[in-house]
Amino acid sequence: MGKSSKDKRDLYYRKAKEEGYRARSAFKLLQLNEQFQLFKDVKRVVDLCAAPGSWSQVLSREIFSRDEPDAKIVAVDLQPMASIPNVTTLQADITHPKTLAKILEIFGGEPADFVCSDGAPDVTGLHDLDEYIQAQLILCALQLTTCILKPGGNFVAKIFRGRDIDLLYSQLGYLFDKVICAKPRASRGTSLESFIVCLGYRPRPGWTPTLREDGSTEEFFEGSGIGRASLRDDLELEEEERVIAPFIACGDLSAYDSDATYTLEEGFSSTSLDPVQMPTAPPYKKALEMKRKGLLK
Amino acid sequence: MTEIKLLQSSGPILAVKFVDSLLLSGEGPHLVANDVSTTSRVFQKLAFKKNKIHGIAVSSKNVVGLWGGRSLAFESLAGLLDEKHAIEELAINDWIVHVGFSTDGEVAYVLTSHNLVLVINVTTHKILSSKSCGEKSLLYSGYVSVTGTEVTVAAGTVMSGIVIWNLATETIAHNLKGHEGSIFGVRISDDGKKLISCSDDRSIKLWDLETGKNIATGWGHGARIWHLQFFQKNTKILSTSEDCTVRVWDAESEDLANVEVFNAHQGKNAWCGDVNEEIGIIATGGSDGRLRIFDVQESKREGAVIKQWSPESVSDATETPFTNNEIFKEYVAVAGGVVCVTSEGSLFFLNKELQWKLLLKDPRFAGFSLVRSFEIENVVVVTSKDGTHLLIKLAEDGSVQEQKSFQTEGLKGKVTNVLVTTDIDTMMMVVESPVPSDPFVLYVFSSGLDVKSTLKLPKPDTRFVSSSLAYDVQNDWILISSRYTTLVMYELSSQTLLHTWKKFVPGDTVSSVRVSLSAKNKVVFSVVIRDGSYYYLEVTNEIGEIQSSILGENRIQKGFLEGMLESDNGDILLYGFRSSQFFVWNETQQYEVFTETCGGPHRQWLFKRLEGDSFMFMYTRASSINVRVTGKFPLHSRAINVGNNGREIRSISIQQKVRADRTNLMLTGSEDTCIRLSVVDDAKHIKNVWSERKHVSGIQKVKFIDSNLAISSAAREELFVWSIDDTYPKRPYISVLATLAPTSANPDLRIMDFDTVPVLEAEKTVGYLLATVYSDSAIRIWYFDLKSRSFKLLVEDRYSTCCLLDAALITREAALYLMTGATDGYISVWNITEILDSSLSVSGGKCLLQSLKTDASTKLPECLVKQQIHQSGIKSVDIRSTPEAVYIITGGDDNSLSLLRLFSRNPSSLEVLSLVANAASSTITSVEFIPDSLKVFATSVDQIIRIWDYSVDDQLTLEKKEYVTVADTGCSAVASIGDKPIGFVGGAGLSVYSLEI
Repeated sequence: MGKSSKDKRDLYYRKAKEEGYRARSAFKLLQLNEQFQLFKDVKRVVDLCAAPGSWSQVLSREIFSRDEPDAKIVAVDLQPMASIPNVTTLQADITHPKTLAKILEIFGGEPADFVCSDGAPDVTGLHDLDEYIQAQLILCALQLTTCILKPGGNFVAKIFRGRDIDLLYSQLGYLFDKVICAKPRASRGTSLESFIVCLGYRPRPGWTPTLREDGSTEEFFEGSGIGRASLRDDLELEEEERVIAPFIACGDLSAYDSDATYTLEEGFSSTSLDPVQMPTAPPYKKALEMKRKGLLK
Repeated sequence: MTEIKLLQSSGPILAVKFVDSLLLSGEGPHLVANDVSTTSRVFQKLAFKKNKIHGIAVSSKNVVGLWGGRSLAFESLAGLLDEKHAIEELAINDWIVHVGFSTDGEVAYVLTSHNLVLVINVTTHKILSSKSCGEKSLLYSGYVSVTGTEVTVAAGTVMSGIVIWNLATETIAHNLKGHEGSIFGVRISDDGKKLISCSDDRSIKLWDLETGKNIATGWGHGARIWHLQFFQKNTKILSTSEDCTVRVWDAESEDLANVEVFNAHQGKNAWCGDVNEEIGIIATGGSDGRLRIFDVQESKREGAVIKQWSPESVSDATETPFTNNEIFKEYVAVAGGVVCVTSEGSLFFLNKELQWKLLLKDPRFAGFSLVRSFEIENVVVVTSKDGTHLLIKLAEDGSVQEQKSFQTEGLKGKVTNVLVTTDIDTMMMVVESPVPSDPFVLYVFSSGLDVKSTLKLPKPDTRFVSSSLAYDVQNDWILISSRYTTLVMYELSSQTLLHTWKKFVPGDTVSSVRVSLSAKNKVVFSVVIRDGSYYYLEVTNEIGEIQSSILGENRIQKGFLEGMLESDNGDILLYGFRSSQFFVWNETQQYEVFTETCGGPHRQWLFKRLEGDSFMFMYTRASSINVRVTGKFPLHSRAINVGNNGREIRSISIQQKVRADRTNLMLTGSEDTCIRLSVVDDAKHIKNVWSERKHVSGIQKVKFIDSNLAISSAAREELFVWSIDDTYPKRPYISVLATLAPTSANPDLRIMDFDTVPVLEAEKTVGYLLATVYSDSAIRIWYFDLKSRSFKLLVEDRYSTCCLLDAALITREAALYLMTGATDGYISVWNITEILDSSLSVSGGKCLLQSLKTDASTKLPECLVKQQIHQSGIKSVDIRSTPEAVYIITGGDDNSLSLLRLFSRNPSSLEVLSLVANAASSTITSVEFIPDSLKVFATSVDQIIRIWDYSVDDQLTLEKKEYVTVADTGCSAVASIGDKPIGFVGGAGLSVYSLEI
């Protein structure tokens, strides 16, 4: 799809470029906030899997615009990220205890009020594997969250509503007062993408979350009693608990529809805009170059 | 008792494994065994309740290990072969990446995605120990290698590294770095010395496990690589990829030379493969649900030939001096071999033992000559520019048995083409000159090579350059094709021109015409156009005049077509050139059966299908003659499963009419842009007949609108009306009856849904009212006229700015309504009776044609109903009209299901009878009323199908649910077949259920 046809098809893409956001996903967080007041009274925020940084941009604009000079936003990603005003960016592994220590240091030892993650792995097309990896990514974010979020704090993460999403709903239900599946209008109806909005963190009684170097998510949540599948001596297949989380569509109905086709005349001049930030080089860059040169048969 | 019973399923195949000639494959949660030597299914067993089989390994004790997700099973082969034995599903608490067996087969090593190995007793299923190297990063791939007592783990991480560790000592031997992106595949050679790996960077790397050094890197795949494996004593590597190809690499060459490329699967992803060294074949599985077999020993098969001759070598072999510039010109097949003419008029014969022999040298044919053959009769005819013909009958040993010469007289121009009938035993030849007033001169020969009759056929009054000839014995019709997609047909006995088709379809040269079916006064010709399309043209002479219609049409994805064959089982084989390759494509089964890199189409070539599914292709390259004969294929078939669409199925429709042989026709539309026409038999086996490539974008919807008509819509504002001809027992045919032209210049506009109502005149259907809804919120209502095949726009309006998702036309006693559903969750209804009044009227629940207005279209009247039912998009709607009211069922993106009623009390109110908020844990993508019941069938992305009952107080209550293996579950169809409702569920695969209600 050419730049201008993507502009036409996707008003949020166009709007993101116009408003200086690095990705259209900024509007998803804005619409989630409209619905759930996620930024209310929030001073310390962790944005996980933050690159290219559009959620941090939203957090920075929204929180600092209401005159919160001592607010702290930390954006973490394995990928390098261009700097964002009022945001501390960390190029680090979210599963590593050092990363946790670093964030706590920035927060002056205080817990976070809000943790969010818009991370998604590369999809393979094997739906069950992709869903497993996405769940692992959420569990990695949740590990850090349980170590840093204040009781009563909120957690938001991207999910894909597939076959086993009800397992995750069930597990999150042990850790939060309310678990909601939210779909902002900026997220396409044709995509399985949604956001899990977890309100009111409730630390598990008798369980101290401890992030260890080279510990797996399985080990981390062992003993947390959130209903994850356990390894049985006889390898018997246990049914896991499943719960359906309530669904809430968010964003005003008068907001742009991400599935609709708009004609450019309806809102915009027809000049196409360059993206705010160019995409990073993919791992297969060399293969593409070789293909261009006719070296692949 | 309501039951949902699985009848058939096809979908991605993620694992294959040979045990001798038994091929085990993981097809969803089922383990399937086929005997490849007989192509027969040995068993199909459910291995796991839900999880798909991702891997299969076999121990030295013939214990089969299966895994997928966190599910696991160990079953003896003998147990699996026992019909009554069920597979016991075991489970651990994490995703399983690989399972290896100890040398004695007693113990299994189960590698998890957190780089942990559980050592498990295969018989007792007890966990003996848990091993780790301390590095627990997430794995996409892994391999447990056992050589003697040494157990080595190769862990392919999401972070581009490969960790090699020793199980006994739990220590890391190497951390192999060099790839970029996630590691999708690793394998250790069976001697434990080498490792191969692949990653998101699309390369294959070979590593020395003793030193940890990268020995070689191979490139070639156009997308990600999923599976790798060593074979032929670690000298070869097999790879399967997202780009649908399967490749063989030379592990001993410096930069891993890519020695073979097989186009294995359709759409996306060749997931898995295995090698059977004994038979010399590779089996692969893909997203398309196919199980393909490839010959890796082709050159060693009985009858196989790969040979090349330069002019010098033929000169030496036949002791015939060649002149300096003498080159091979045309060659033709005869019963005993091939006859080749050179530029000096020498005729050589190449017999089946690959020996050359000079037949004769005739200076009359030096410079320009044409050579043709009557293969069945073993006769060759050579023609010079000035019309001298030499007929030669060859004896079995290739010697000249008889020859006769004659001259074409009376042509003003030189002879530029000679056409012969090739597939019948009548020896018939047409001679052509480029002068328009020169007739075609047609000769019929006796077996004694005498001219039995000479006929002069006047040329049609149009530009005509002949290219192919077909003769139908039964009707005595001869069809000659030309460039400019023009055809001419004659009746031979009367020498009259019956009909000319001028530029009958787009394109240029007709490369081949053949008689496909023949009856009295009726012939179906196959017509192949060089630019890649082909047609079935039905010609009749039943009412004293020639009438014709296109029964079937299609095009290939890429390349140029030279001809078409039909195999004994009715499969259509197309052949032609694609860039530098010659290919043979099984169009019915949708896979390639032969390819040869010959340099491209601009050369002399000869293609022939031999017995035993083998092929001969001969071509000239750099003035040498090359020949490849594939030899006898070792198995019965090149595909065990043919599978279905290559990408996610987005729409399914079942023909309501049951065919004479108790089968039904089914249409599916998929993301791969194909519309597939299939036959569903009694046992609900699905056999694909056509894969139509008319659309260029992903299909939104396909639906039968009548027993022989269907409509499909897609992005880029594509909408086609299809005609399905089911009169011939050989196969149904499908062709485009009409195309709705795009209304806007915006190429991104999608036609999201449509609905039709038949329009009657004198109790006969003369057309259809068609409502189309668009992604830019546009609504249009058309009248489609059957006779003129044209659309007239009656109503044009806009809903809002949001994307419309559903359209339905509802006919009541004396009124017609339009209903839409949209991404905003609203159902809207309009009464459109009034605005259509002068064009159409509604009476007795039927739509009747009045006089079509010629003026511009009108707008919709004010909305009767506009009511929010769902929070977000209404993904699916179904309507049931009863005399009292109209029932509507809707399924939403918000996981909810609602039952609505219209017109029961107040004509302008929509009653919400029942709303189930959490009817599924994910988007409900399809809802349908089950025929002859008060039940609803719902399909959702959580991979569960549900039957809801509303017989009590119109309240939806869940009656039955069943897990479906089809992921990305996106569409369904429920049809009464044999008095029973049958549910079809599509997505990444297709499953068929019997709904026992």
